[in-house]
Order: sequence, then C-alpha cells, then structure tokens
Amino acid sequence: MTEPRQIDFRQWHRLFQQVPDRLVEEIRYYRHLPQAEWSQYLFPPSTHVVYGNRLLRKLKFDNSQAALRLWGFVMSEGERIYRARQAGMKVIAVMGDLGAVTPLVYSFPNIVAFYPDCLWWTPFLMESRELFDEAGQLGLGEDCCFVRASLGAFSRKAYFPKPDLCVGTVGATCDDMATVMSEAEQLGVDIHYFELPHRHDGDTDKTALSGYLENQYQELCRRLEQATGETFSPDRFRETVQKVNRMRSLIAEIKDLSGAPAASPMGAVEMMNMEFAALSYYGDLDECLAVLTEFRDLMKFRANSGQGYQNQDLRLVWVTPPADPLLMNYIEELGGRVVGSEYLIHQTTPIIDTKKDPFEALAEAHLKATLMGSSAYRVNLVIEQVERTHADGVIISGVFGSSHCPYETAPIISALRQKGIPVLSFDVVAPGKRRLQSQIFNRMEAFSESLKARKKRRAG
Amino acid sequence: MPGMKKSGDMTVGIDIGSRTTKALVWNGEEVLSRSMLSTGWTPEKSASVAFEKTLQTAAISPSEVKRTMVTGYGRGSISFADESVTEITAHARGVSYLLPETKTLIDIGGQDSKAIIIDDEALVQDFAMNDRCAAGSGKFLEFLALTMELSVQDFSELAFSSKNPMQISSICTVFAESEVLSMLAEGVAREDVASGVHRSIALRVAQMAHSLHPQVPIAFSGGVARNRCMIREIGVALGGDISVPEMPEYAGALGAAIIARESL
Amino acid sequence: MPGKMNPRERWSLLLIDELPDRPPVYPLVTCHAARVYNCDLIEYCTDGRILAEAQLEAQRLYGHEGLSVFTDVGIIAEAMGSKYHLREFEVPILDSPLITDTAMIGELGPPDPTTQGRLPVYLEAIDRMYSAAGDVLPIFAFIPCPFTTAAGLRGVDNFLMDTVLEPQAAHDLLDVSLKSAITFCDECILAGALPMLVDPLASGSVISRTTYSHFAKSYQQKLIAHLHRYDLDVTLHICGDTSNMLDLIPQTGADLFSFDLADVDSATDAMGDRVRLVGNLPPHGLLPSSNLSVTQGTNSIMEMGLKNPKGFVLSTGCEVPIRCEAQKLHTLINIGKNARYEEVW
Repeated sequence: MTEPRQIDFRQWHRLFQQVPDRLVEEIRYYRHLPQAEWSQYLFPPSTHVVYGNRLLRKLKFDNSQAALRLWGFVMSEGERIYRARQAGMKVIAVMGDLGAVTPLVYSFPNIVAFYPDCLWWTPFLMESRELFDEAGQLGLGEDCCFVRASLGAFSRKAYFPKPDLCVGTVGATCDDMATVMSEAEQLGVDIHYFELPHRHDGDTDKTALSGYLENQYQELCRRLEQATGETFSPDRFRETVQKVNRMRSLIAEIKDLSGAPAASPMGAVEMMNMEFAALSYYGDLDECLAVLTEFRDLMKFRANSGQGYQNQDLRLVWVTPPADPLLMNYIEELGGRVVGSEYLIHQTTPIIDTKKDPFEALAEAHLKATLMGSSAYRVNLVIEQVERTHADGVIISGVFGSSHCPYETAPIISALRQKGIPVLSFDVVAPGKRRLQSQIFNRMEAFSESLKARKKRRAG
Repeated sequence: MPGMKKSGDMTVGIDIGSRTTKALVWNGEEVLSRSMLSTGWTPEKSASVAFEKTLQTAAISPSEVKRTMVTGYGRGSISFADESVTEITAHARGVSYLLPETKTLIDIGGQDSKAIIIDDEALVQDFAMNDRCAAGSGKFLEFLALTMELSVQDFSELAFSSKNPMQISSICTVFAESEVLSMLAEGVAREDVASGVHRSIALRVAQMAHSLHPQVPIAFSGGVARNRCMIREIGVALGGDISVPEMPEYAGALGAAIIARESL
Repeated sequence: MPGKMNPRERWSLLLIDELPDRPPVYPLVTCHAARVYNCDLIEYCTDGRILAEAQLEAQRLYGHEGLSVFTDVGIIAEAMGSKYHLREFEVPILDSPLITDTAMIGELGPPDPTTQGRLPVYLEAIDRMYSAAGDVLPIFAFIPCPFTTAAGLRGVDNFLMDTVLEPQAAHDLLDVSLKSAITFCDECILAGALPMLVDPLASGSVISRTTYSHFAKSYQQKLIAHLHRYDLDVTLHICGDTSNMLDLIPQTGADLFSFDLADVDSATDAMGDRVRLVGNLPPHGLLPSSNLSVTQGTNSIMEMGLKNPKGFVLSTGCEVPIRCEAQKLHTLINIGKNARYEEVW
C-alpha cells in the first residue's frame, strides 16, 4: 500500500491513471439493477471539478483507493437519486431527523432515502451563492442556517428528483430545517411531519417520551405504506436494521481508529464524509456498507502499522460539522488532526435492538439524539470525546442563524474553559466573503500556535 | 539613534496592520530602532520600506539580521520574511516582555479588537476577537471623529474632558453616525458625545473580554492605547486598572522580533 | 426569478438523462466574442486574459449557456511545431506544416501544454473563466481531434495523400496526435473545462466514409475512451456534411454530437436513443440577411430537437461567424429560451 499522504486534485488526476480498469469497472452502486455505465463511481476529484465543484481545486484528499471510493460515492449521490427514480424506485427525502428515521424508510422495498439538508455544503463545494440567493428570494436570508441551500435546491428542481414523500422532522431539532420544510411545502412537496418530543435531561422519565416517539414511528410507517404501496414487514425491518447496525459499528470502529497514537491515519474531511454516511447511507445502503468496510480495513491497516500523515500532531475534537470542508484542511495544514467529533448525530450511534418491537427499538435509539437532550447532555458528550481521545483542544464551528448553535455553543465553551481545555469557536463564513474567511483562518492559526506552544512546554 | 550599540544576534519584527506597518530591530535586550508608516494598498511594499528604514536607523545591513518575523493581517504576502506568526501570539509575547505581570491583554487595532488571556509563561491561553464589523475597532473611532470634524487625537482629548458620557446605542457604524449627529443637533455637549463614542467601543470590547473571564493585571496595546479616554473607559468597563506599555503600537512587532530570536 | 435553472443545472440534468426545464441554448460563440469585446483576433488568440474576458462579455450580452475556449483547429499542431499565421481580423491559418517528410514523424512527441505554443493561452483563459463563472456556466475547451491535428502537422493535402500512399505513416502521425490531444485534454480538465472534441477535417465534406472509418473514427474513439475513464461527458463536433456517416458516430462513444449539415430528424433516427444532439442552425444564416430565416430555421430545428429521446441542445451547426449580426444571435437564443419541456415536478 502507498504511504499515506494528502494530495491535491491534480495529483489525483494523474494517480488515477494507475487505478486498474478492472476496479473502475467493478465499483458500482445499485448492484441489484442491470449494470449500467452510470452506476460506476470510482472517479477522481478532477471529474467533479469540471462539473463546477470549484472548491475541490483547493482541497487535499487522502491518496488511498478507499478514500477515493468514499469521495466518489459521496459525490455521485445526486445522480444516484435520479437514477433510482429512473429505475422505478421510490424516493423519500428525510429532513431534520439527522439519521434517525432512515432505518425505517429503508425497510421498505425498492426505496431510497436522501437527505436534502446535506445540500448545505453544495454552495461551499461549488464556491457559489446560487442556492443561497435562491433561498433568499423565497424569504430565507442570511439569518437562517446554511441548510437554507436545500430550499434553493427544492426551488431549482435540479439537484434531486421530486420526492415521493418528504419526512420532515420537527420539534426538538434545528428550527431552520423546519423553516425549509414549510417553505418546501409551498413548492408542492408532500411532507409528513414527524414531531419529536420535548428536550430532556438525565432525570426525565423516558417512558412517556419513548411512547410518544413510538406513535410517531407508527404513523410514519403507515404513511410510507401509502407512499410505496407496500406493507411494512417486521422481517424486512430486522434485516435492514442488521445492516444499519453493521454500519453503525463500522462508523464507531473507524472513529476509534482515527485517534491512532502514532499518526493521523486519515483526513478530517474524509472522516466527516464517512460519519455522515449514517444519515441516509448516501442513497444505497448495501454499497455504503461496502465503501465503509474497505475504508475501515485501510484505517485498521494504517493504525496498526503506525502509518499516517506527517506533521499533524495537535489532537483536536471538532464540534458541529463545518459546511466548509476547507476549514478542516486548513487546520491540518497548521499541524492539527481531528481525533474526535460531535456532529449532532449521536442518535445514529446506538445499536438498534432487533429483538424488541421495531417502533420501540427505533424510539429508544432516537432518544439519544443530541438535539433532544439537554445542553448538559451534549456538553458531556463533547467532554467525554476530549478525554477519551486525549485531545489538545476543541474547535466549534458554528453557523450564524442556525437555531441550535446559540443554544449549545456557549455552554460547551464555558464547560471546556472550566476544565482548562482550550477551545476555539467561530461561525463558518458563507462562500464569497473572502475577508471574513481569512479572519477565521487567522484565528485557527493563532489557536494552533498557542496549542503548539503548550505542547512544547509540556514536553519540557 | 544611529550609532547605537549592536550586541547579540539581531532580529527584525514587522507588524503589518490594516492601517499602519511597524518594524523594529531587536538585539535580545533592547529595541535598536523602529519605524512606522501607513500600510496603504501594498502591504509587501510598506513592509519592505519599514524594514529598510528601521535597518537604516539602526545602521545595520540586512545581512546582519539573523531572522525576520512578520505578523499582522498582511503577513501572508511578505516574501522576504523568514517566518510569520499571528498578531495574537505576537502581541501577547511583546506585551509580556514589556509588562511581564500581564494576565489579560486588550488590543484595539485598525479593523479589529482582541482580548487575550496570557498564562504565567507568557503563552496565549485563550483569546476572543471582534473582526466582523467596524464597531469596537479603531476604524469606528476614526469614522466618528471625522463626523465631528476632528482629528482622532483631538477627538480623544475632547472626550477625556467629559464628565457625563452619553450613551451611543447603535453598534452599526452608519447608524452610530446618525445617532451622533442627532445628539449634536439636539445640543448635547460635544465632549459628552465624544466620550459616549469611546464608551460604546469600550463596552463592546469588555463584553468580548468578559467571555474569557479576564484576570488582572490588564494591559492595553495597539495604536488606540495612546488614547487617554479609551484607557479610562476600558478600565471602567473591565473594572480594573489598565496598564499601557511603552510604545503600545509596537507590541506586535516586538513580539515577532522576540519570537524570531527565540527560534534562532 | 425563483425557480429558474441556471445553465450549469440545465446541462447537469441533460447529462444524467433527466429533462431540464428546456434544452440548453449553446451556439458556438468562439472568435465572434473578440468582436463583441472589440479586440482584434491576434490579441484574442494569444492572450488568455483577453480570451476569457471576451467570452464572459459575449455571454453577458447574449445569455447563451456555456463558455467556449477555441481559437483555431491548429492549436495543438502549432504547439508541436507547425507554423500558423495569425491575422487581425480572421482566424489563424496554417502557414507551414512541421512534417515535410514522413521520416520526421518518429521524432515527434506531445507538447508541454503549460509552455508550448498557444496552449498556455487556453489554460489561462479556462482558469480565469472557471474562477469567474464556473459555478453557473460550463466551460468547453475545444480540442482538435487527432485527424485534424495530423493534417495541421503534415498539411491537409499531404496528409490525405499519406492515408492512401503511406497509411502506416498516417497512423503514426495520428498516434502522436492522439497522445498530444490526451495530454492537452488533461490540462484543460485540471483548469476546469470539459473537453469538446472538434474534427473539422474528418467531415464528410472533406473525406469519404471509408477514410473516416479507417483514419478518424478510431482515434476519436480512443480519445473519448480516455475521457470516459474520467466519467466525462464528451461532445464530438464535426463540421460540414456528416449525413453519410451519422450511423458511425455512436461507435465513437460520443455522448453528444454537434453537427452541421445534416438534418436533425436523420440524426435522431441514426443515434437519438444513445446520443444527445447539439445543433444546428447554419452559421451563414447569422450573417446579414433576413431575421425571418433565423426564426423559421431555429423553430424548425427546435421542433425536431425536442423530440430527440436522449436530449437536445440548441446550437449553431458550426462556429458563429465573426461578423455575425447580434440581433440574429439574440433571435436564435430567445427562441431556445422560450422552449419548454413538460414540467416534471
């Protein structure tokens, strides 16, 4: 295997010529369908540059085939959802739940789920204000989270096919997503609202909350039956959940491996993409499992053999996913590595109990949701990550206008400061605001300087 | 200062701020020379001129300089420098040298303001910055001085004479200007309006600093630290005495020169 | 206006077999941009900044849906050593071909696109356009196919003679021309453009169906295969009369076929289930003449094009003439912009 390195899109373009034709041919999604040319996805970042993803010119990518496969899988999701529709599959948009309801959706046959909210990174990838401006014309301006880009996408009708149903989770989740949903409804999207119970803390009696969620899942199930014309099958549910559990275990295992003591075995952006597979499996659960398995094998090999990137010694926990992946690359350039993360998707981590009643099992897992717990619950999750990964510091990338950021960021900062854990917090800057972005870079640089100085002092 | 003693290895620190560029020569014990000029549109050029001027004043040649370290917002574009460091680290280091007991540093620059917590070993422990809008920066002060048709220095002196600062509630520079103009039109004393502007900046800076749980002693650096009214208002807002180092506008350049020397 | 797709969105849907709101409108506005920008063609062909600014200005004026990086078909041959004559008011023409004797072919190698000839002009232009508008507008880099480049290296007549008298030498020259095209394509991709292959010398107006089959098609095929390995959608443009070779085009693997003198219905019959069509208002119609003919011609093409199963792009059959009347081009584009596919949402 090649020595782990982060390379740019030009280097990948040339390196790709060494990837055997056989592999390019073999690696495909929707393997249950007759093999079509469009189902291949192992292509280098330069391919996506040509189609307007301008940020890829600036990003650094891991040089492994497993990482290339992950990138290819992530970048082909948009086309994949269209191809699903062309192949006669039902398309379900899941919004606002952050990965909790997808196991139920995938329990129905001939169906794919996708996550419109993830389009929040499209303006960053394309270095474009198009989708934000579109959302702005529909009334969602800069005072709303970057997920407003998904409203722009609903309006443009060019980023995903019209969903057969949109499951819109509201309540104790980001209000911004609910705003997008209600606007999308105006555009003719069929929305089934899935209501979360109130936020809770450790002392709350979970029985009532669980019962409430079970009802929500049962209602959703009926709605999915209507949308698909299929009857819910507990056996198929168990079969799906077994796969989902495998994926959750894989993600947990990979996350653990990213903290390998010798050197960082993988880039932070790849790790974030990997973790986000938990949301909707990038539109193909089986292939997603194959992608993550190969990724895990590589990580395991690197971690066990002490291989990784050079000169990335500052161990960091990243809190709240940054819509702009360049920020993660930048901290790596400054000598940082992300060894832990709290991306608000804690509800995708529990193993779902296949022996229990399906709805009860789903509700139980859902109650782990970061946004449904109290602020203290999330603070503890972050601190637990810092301690477990022996992190030198924490970076919190907030989003101006995002409803959860002001609720959560201040208590997390305060708790970390009380424990003497260095923390840097900033709001991610929308594309096109170069001056503001350079100021974020400046803060990151100052933060890394102070962490390096401390490390040096500790080392005597 | 020509003909001053030249002992030890000499390093140069250059601080390229949004308004002014500062450079100095440091020999490990003292500042041999310094120069300051307007940054203008070409940071590389102003850095180069400041570098040459300060070397000329110290009567040394570029080959005698062991290392040149740049800091400040324009540091990325300086090809002749050996290294760069952020102004946060540089200011903390410079002020810690000048006022070794400092625990909290307030720096108000041309386009931003920062609060920095410094630990016992002169390292940055934590920091906060306001760099998203002009309010809370030297630019805000300059703009409102202009509104009152005064130089920044006269504006500051006028403000210092006030016993009854007015409350300026607008945080947007443009709205603050209308508020100031309305007050003047209503006949409010000019010194009270001017000190109200200073207080407004001080409150914003203090708000930012409070999030870091500042400890005393508190120092104040940057060009605005020469402003007597601002020193007073920052002190009131933070509830403590404020120390201002000698040559506060050079703290960043000094810090850069010290770090350069430490890395030799 | 909310809900209005941008060109990039429209093209992306077309390329994944989805219907956009309407076909993209992409007349081949190449050197005509110099006239819009009010610069001479020597400047346009030798300065990447001017080429980019001229293209962007022409796009702002007409609102067509793609930027075109193209000066002349000799761009690769020139970088390899042939001499081209640059002219103020016309496109460059071949002055003296490099290969005067087929024995010289063995010494040839692909040029370095970053330093040789005017290839860096293309790369700079692409980079500038991509940075300025790459999020909303696709950028097409017109790459001469091996057959056309070989003709530029050897001289058209000599090369055509070679295909008869020294076929192996012709193939050798085509091989090195292919390598050169691949090298240049890669750099254009890295600068942000989608290669669009142009092969004017492989036209039915110049060569026979047999010559096309033996000497042009397989090299088009190989070049397209290289681009397909990167999952890029390839447009093949052949000028002049292609009616006698329409059935051969799908064999090249082209995803889109941009054509001149053939009728849209025939092209649809020959390849419409596999290939998207790009065409094909005759460029001479855009020279001073009656506006009515542009309207009628465009309407008729549009009507046929909308029925192509694999999709359609309204375009001109070849480059928009340098001295095209702006009003005519506006007419064509407006007709395209008023067309509609059935709403899918």
